[in-house]
Amino acid sequence: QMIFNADEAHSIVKECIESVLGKADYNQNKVNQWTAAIVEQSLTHLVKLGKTYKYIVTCAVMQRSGAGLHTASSCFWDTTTDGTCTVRWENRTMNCIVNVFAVAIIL
Amino acid sequence: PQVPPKRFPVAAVETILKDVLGSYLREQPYEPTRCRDMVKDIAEVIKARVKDLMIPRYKIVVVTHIGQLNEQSMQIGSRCLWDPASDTFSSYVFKNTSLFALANVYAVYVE
Repeated sequence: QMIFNADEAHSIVKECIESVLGKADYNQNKVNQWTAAIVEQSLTHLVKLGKTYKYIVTCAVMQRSGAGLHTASSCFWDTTTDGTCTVRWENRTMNCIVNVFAVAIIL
Repeated sequence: PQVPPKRFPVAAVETILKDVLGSYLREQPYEPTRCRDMVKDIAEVIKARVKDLMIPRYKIVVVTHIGQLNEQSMQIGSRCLWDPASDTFSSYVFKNTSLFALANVYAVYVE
């Protein structure tokens, strides 16, 4: 019986965010390719774990201007095998939130 | 590739999202404590209504965001590793003068 390893996913995603946003300042022209890169890199690394899961990865990057943002999720799935993890990251000029949802494939 | 008996009704779910976001947030000003509770309620309500559609063999993930409208810029994106023949998503954005809300429903088929 497979269990989703949230800690493993957390460190994978954190590394992807660091490598894409690391030292950058918020840039509206680049944010589109940044979110795409974070999400695609995260997916690639998650797949390399070789587990039979389908993955949904969402990423929000926001300029730090004092505005508030709230995020929630609700899932209808198999709680014994499926799981989620959220990574929050920030630097001086922007916030980034990445969610990973993993849904087990039954073979 | 797995072919589901009944396809996930993307348009019907979009109507649910529009309905739920509209009824909770129309004319509502952005308020941190209120929005924090509302974002959770909205996710739960959407999940319940999608379940009521009784689409067999689909697992559901609902993600909601509510944010304040300042002069800031932001980008929200997602990618999925799944079977595009059977899996899909539905999305809706709501805006008023003080806040924006995004609701996404991802549907994953399980044999």
